[in-house]
Amino acid sequence: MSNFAFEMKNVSKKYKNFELSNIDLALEKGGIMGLIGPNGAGKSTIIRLLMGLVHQDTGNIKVLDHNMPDQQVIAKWDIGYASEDMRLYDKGTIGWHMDYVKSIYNNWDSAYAKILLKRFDLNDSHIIKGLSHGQRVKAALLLILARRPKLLILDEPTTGLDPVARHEFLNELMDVLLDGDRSILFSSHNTQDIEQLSDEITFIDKGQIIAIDDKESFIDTWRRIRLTIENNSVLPVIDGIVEQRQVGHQAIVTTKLYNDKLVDIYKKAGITISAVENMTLEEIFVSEVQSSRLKSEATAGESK
Amino acid sequence: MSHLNQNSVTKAMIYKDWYFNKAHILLFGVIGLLAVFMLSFESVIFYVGQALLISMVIIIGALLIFSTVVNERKKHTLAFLMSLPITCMDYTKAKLIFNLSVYFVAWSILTVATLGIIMYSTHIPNGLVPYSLIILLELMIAFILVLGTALVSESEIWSIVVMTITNIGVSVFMFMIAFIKDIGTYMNGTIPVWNKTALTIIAVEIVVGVAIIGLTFYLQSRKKDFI
Repeated sequence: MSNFAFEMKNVSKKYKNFELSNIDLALEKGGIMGLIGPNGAGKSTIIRLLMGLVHQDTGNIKVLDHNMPDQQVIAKWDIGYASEDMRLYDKGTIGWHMDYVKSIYNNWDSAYAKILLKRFDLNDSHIIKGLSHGQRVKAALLLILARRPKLLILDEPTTGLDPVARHEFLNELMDVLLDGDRSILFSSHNTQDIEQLSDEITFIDKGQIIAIDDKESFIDTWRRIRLTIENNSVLPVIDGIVEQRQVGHQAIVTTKLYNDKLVDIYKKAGITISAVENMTLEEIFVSEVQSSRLKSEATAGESK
Repeated sequence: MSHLNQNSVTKAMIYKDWYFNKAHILLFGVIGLLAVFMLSFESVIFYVGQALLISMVIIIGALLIFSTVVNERKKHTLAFLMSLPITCMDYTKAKLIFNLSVYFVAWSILTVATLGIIMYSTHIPNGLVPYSLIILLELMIAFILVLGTALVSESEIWSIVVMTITNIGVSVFMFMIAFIKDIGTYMNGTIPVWNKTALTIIAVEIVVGVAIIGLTFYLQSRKKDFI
């Protein structure tokens, strides 16, 4: 038994216009990982690979200690999966769906399902067709949670929700996540959702993982520094600088490795630090993506 | 998990398709029986019944394929289904079992009723029995072909294209079979003639149907991306 809820090693998957390349990703059991990436970055492909719905070209995938896709059936008994494009049956009531899932899973917890119905403010006699999108998303979540899966995989579940419904959904999700000891992978292109829920964050862009760290580390080490440069001073080259822009005597530097030594280096170079600003996860994500794309373009340019 | 659990998932998928489609299937089945009853009349009612019967057999097939396979993907309920502990092959198996079983039951009832009406009505020549069975079998093969296309192509457009071609093909097929000397000669006779030509056509139809099912399984087993 490994300590990981899932492990992807050197996984690649090639499509006509998109390639997921050399993905190494693992989530410790009990952890909550947020997968952030722009649209088309490869988040859903990673999740489909983990579900065995798509087969990798190369590399190994283990989910709950089962090899994917060969052992997907065994693994899926303990995975709760919901995606943005998943819909329930229009003609069925919430109660019908609950009975349906109950008929399949022995570990369906009827008492917990009733608690979730109340908490999500749902009525089991309502048919799916008459529900709002937010209610449908909650109903899908109920169907997953009430069978108490060991691993929860949520692929952009908040997409399409209005701000109020999104806020309610996330708050309710956070509440129910306290109920049990589950591992969770949560993908979104909305950094606020990820920031609210995740312990560990993975940034993905153009089919490649560009950064993985715990949420606190991202927040602690990323800074935007405003500098005033004296006449003869030159911005020093320092590890971890992701972006620097200079207009006249003013410069803005973004670093992913902020520490006290950095301040000393600038002082020694005759540069005055005007301000050190914390960055939001969204700003960190955008900077990381831009930096990664610039690196890729530079590498592509060199190879030509 | 055990095979017992796995069977329960397959059963659940079949039950789900029946639950959401039974009302329509029963409605069109009853209209089909009404069409068979109309065959027992002489004059224009017979011809209306004939057209209605063929329409019902085609409609039941289309209803099954579109509501249980095409719409599953189009309405995004397939993601829900595939989140259950099943593989692409389990899905294929459940869809084939449900669709073939329901269609076969509906087809058999309508076929037996049709052949019975032909045999016991004085105004319809009994010689039409082999011809009618060949045509009704062709409708079954067309259904299997459209079902296989829907499962393998995962495309609504391709399903519609194949369904349209096979539906238009029914008239052409009826015409062609009637023009085969060994069939056409005996169509207006007083007794059904099961000659070598008729039996060969029936055998070929059965082999083609089984081959399409086998090919569907084979092509589905080679899929690496399902959703």
